[in-house]
Order: sequence, then structure tokens, then C-alpha cells
Amino acid sequence: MPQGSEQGDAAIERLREIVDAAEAEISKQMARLASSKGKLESSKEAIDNNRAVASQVRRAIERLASATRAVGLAGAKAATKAEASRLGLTLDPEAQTIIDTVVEDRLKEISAVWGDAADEVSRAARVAITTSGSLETLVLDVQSKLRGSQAQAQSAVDSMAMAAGRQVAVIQAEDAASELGEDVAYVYGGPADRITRPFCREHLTSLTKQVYTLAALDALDAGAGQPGPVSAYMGGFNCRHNLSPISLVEAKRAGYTVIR
Amino acid sequence: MTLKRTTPTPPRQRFNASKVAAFIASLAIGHIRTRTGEGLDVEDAPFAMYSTEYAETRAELGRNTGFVDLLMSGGMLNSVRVVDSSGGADLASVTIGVGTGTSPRVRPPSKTRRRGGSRTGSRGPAHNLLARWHNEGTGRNPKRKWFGVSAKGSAMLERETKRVLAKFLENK
Repeated sequence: MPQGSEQGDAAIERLREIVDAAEAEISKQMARLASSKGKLESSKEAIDNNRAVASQVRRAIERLASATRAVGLAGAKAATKAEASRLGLTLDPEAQTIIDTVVEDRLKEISAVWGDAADEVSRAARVAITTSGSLETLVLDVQSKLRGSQAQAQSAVDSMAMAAGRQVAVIQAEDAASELGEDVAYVYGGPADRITRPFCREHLTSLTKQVYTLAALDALDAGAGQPGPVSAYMGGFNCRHNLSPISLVEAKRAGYTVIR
Repeated sequence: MTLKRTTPTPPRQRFNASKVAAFIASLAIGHIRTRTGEGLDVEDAPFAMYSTEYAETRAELGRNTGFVDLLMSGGMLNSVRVVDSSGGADLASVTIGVGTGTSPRVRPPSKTRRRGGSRTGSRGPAHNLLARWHNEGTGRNPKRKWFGVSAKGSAMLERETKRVLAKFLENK
């Protein structure tokens, strides 16, 4: 998300400027402190300056949080647009409606992710300011939070695109089957490797010989903190697994147990 | 004597080629994903193995190395979908393709991390381009033709098509 990175970098740069200004101010205060024989409390100007610096940092943090929220939503919308383009939706107006509905929910989740990140950044700033932590530490902390948040948001956007793709494929399969009075199930496909989540391992068709109806999938819970439904997100954020439609007749023919 | 119907007659379904094509397309997508995930190409033969160097990278990333499933992020396989459909009640055509989206690049974890990898911040090639590289092979990479229907898949789709058509004929 280059746009997000640029905005994040600009915000960090602004914070760095504030830190530079604050350090210069602190140096001046230290000089005054030395000349006033340690009686800082008598220096009203120094205290006011401290308050001004804290206020500046607070404002910068607010701008930073606001920028990250905007980038999160913009990223989500861009991913949605790309997803819609991939699907060739001009050919299928019904799919457009499906995408709109599906993505609207995902957008709310993205917004929630960025909201949490913004809160984290603000919290770091508050802690640093109220505990008299060094401003350099604050910047590093904020930078660290922002990096984490960008990765988190990128992950959420990627997961959303995967989820929207899965959901549209599932809905298209369900609709096509329903139109013909057919039933479909889904092979829970993908790797069973060292980083596969226990939830996915428990449901992988290659290991369990089980396939799932849509209702059975959505009755599953991938665990605390993971988005749902399972038919869209499967094991959760960054899940690499996929769903393959199979007719119930073929599923039985292949010896799979159908979980309804 | 007057006979009265006690159960409603099920509505008679008219044959619609577009609906049948859409259903078969879904099954074809399922076949491509499942077969590729099983490490088999369109000839139902195992894919060419990964190079030693790439297998090592995959191992560091916690991915499978023992058999080739063309799966890193899952984005390419997940993006297989109906990209075009046309026709009507009598004749229909459905085209399945690979999406144009991208997946994040990942790098092996540092020695202090035990599992997974981290994102580099850049994106990989478009899924459809990646699909083509696999399908046709490149100078460095062997051909791993995954996008298509194998003989077994084709037989399954034929069985399903005949079964669905038979239902229409029975109801006619």
C-alpha cells in the first residue's frame, strides 16, 4: 500500500520535526535549570513550553491516527474495486449486488482494525507524555505501532479480498445449483504444513475425507479474534485455504462424508 | 366420480443452457483447485519438483516442500473464477480464468522467529501472469500445467452434465 506508506512516512517525519523542536526546547530548559540552580518549578515559561510540546505531539498523533484510518478505508476500497474488476462484474449484475453486500461487511471490519490501531498509537502517546518518557522513545514507539498497524491493515485488506472472492464463488455455486435443484458441498482444500492453523487442519478434506455444505461451514467458528463467516475467511486472517464446489452426488462417489 | 389432486405438482423446470453451464463451471473450478492442491497437473501427473533453493526457502517459510501444490499465499488458486459468460436458454458459454489481483511477497523469518515469514512490503506478480508462467514454464522454471481440466475431471464433468440433463428429460 504505497499511498499508506507515504502518508505514514509524512506523519512520522512531522513527528520527528516536533521531536527536534522539543529537544531544542528541552536543551534551553536545561540551560535555564542550570542557571536557576535546579528550581525548575519557578520557571513558568519552561512549564508552559512543556505543555505546548505535549499539545503539539497530541495534535500530531491525532493527525497520524486520522491518516491511518483514511488509508485503511482507501486501501479496502481499492482492493474491492480490483476484486470487482477481476470478477468481470459487467457481465453479471447480480454478482455486483453480492459483492457490494459482502464487501460492506468487510469494510466495517477494516475500519475496526484501523480504529484499534489508532487507539494503540494514541495510547502510546498518552503513556509517553504522562510518564515523562523521552520523546525519541515516543516516536520510535509510534513508528513501531504504525508499522505494525500498516501490516495489520494490509493483512486485513488482503484477507478481505480473499474472503470476498471465496464468498462470491460460493454464492455463484449455490445459486447455480439451486436453479437446477442440485445440492453442492465444498472441499476444504489447501496445504497441511507447519504453519497451518489447527482449525484448518481439523477441517481439511485431504485429512478428514469430509466435505461441508455451506450451512455446515458457517456453523463453524474459527476461534476468538478471527473474522467470519468460515465460508469467506476460512481459518481467519491470511488463511491460504480454499473452497472447491463439488456436487453431492460426486462427493459421495468420491467417498467423502458430507457434513451438513 | 371426480378425482381431486391432493399433492401439488412440482413446477416443471424448463431447460436452460446458461444455468447448466454455470453449474458445470462451478464444478470445473472445484476440480482445478482440488486437483492442483493434490499436486497433480492437467495430465493427472505430479508436478515437477521445486528447485532445491526454492524448496529451502519454502521450508524456512513453513510451507510444503515434499510435493508441489503451487501454493504460497493461496491467492492464485483462490482467484480462479468465471470471467465471462454468454448465451441463453439453448446455447451457453462460460469462460473460467485467473484473477488479475496480486498477493504479498513474503520472506523467510529471522532466526529469532520460530514460524511463518514476514511480508516484504512489495507485491508478487498478477495471479493470471503467475498462472501463465506456471502453465507454460519460463527459462528458469519448468512447465507445471495446472490450469485446465484433466481426463478424470473431464469425465466427472461429463457425468454431471449427463445427470443434470437426464433430470430435465425425466421431468419433460
